[in-house]
Amino acid sequence: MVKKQRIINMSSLNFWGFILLLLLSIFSYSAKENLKLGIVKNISAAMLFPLEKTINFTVNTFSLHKKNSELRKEIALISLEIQRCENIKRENKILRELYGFKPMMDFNLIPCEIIGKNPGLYNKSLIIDGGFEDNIDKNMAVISADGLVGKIIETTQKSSEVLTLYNINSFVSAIDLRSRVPGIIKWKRERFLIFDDVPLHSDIKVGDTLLTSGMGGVFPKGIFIGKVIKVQESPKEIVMRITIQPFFDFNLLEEVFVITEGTNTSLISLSKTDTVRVSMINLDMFKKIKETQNFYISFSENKKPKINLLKNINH
Amino acid sequence: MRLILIIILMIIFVALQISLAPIISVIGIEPNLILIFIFFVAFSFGQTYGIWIGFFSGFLCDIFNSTHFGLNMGLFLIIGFIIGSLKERFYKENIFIEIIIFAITLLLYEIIYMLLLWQFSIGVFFFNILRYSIPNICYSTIICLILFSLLRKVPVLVTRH
Repeated sequence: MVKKQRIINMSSLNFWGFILLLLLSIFSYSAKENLKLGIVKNISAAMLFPLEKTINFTVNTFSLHKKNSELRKEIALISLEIQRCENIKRENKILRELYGFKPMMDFNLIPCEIIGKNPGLYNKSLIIDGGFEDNIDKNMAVISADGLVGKIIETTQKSSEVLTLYNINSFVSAIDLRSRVPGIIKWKRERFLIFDDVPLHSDIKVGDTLLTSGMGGVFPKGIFIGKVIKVQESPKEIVMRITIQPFFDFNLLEEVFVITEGTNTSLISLSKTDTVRVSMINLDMFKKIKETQNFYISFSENKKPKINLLKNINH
Repeated sequence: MRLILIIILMIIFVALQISLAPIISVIGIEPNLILIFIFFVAFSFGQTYGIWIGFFSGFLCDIFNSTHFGLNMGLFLIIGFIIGSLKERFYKENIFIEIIIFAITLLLYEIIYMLLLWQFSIGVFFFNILRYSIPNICYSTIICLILFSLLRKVPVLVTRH
């Protein structure tokens, strides 16, 4: 059954080819941050992605009818929810202005198509068809229609790599929408994510929704991440073991949105274009604010400018 | 003809790993389809095929992964080289020997991968071995049996001893 031969024949061409390729692999691993693989990535994506799409399409076709009726129902519910949210948003904006809070940012979204997925067991990442040509930069948050997907970790001219939540290097600061309990979202090669660093007996229940907390500065506050599906408490441990099902499905993702800098329609900084509007404010008020920079101008619903002084100014 | 078919199959297997493996996962365990293919090619056609298919399969896996670029390239290359060498030592009459070697290869791959990425405590490391690696080996071995019998039905991929 077993032939008596040496496993490794050091004089063969294969052996030296192997050594050469191994050195190339080691070099690639050690110099991975400096390697520019934009074109190679685009070629590989062009080769693999149509095939992936076909396989996904074939698999999804079987469940298409059921999914279609579910989605129709969901759209009806979401339409109602959007109308309700619009009213709440307007109220919230007015209340924030009354309290003198900095108004919430509106996100700028850049739609991108996924052109590649990394099948790694420990590091699932995506390649999208937007790069620095489209104003996409490192550390920008990436979302899908369902919720947070990850962040940009590398950009080339026309493509970018997204570190998804299904990656052992991914850590997202999150809070519970209901109880406001904070924690960190991690992945440890399981089917679902975990909500870690939550002390025992914290108020977390199955069905709770988790949002980004805005801590760390990468992910804007308030993006939906996932739902709590399991809560375990063991007296031997100091933290709870909470399992999260993310709202996005890695396998079904086809397009994502990159969040670039937020825009703010009500908070206006002074610039040459705003001079005319500022001059419309009465002269006394203008004299009062002239000596300080501690103010901001907002516009009410009927587009009239309003100057807001910060409270610690003594005039 | 054979080389072209193997290259096409390599691309298909990488695409299957990306899109199909998560769908057929059981209790969160995905079969390692790429490793099954590399093992098949190396064990059937020897070291030269093993080295190149291992290297390029790893490259296709790593190309979309800038955080660990080169890791799969190196590991699959080593697997292709060693399994390719075993072709000369074992006849393929007994499928069980092939399956046992495959299971050992996958276990070693999982252990080395985890060691290279070391982000765990020793407890978590052993937990991962028991919770993920062992079930993965069982599941991948079953898939390996099915795929081997399918691949061996393709005339171009049948080797004579």
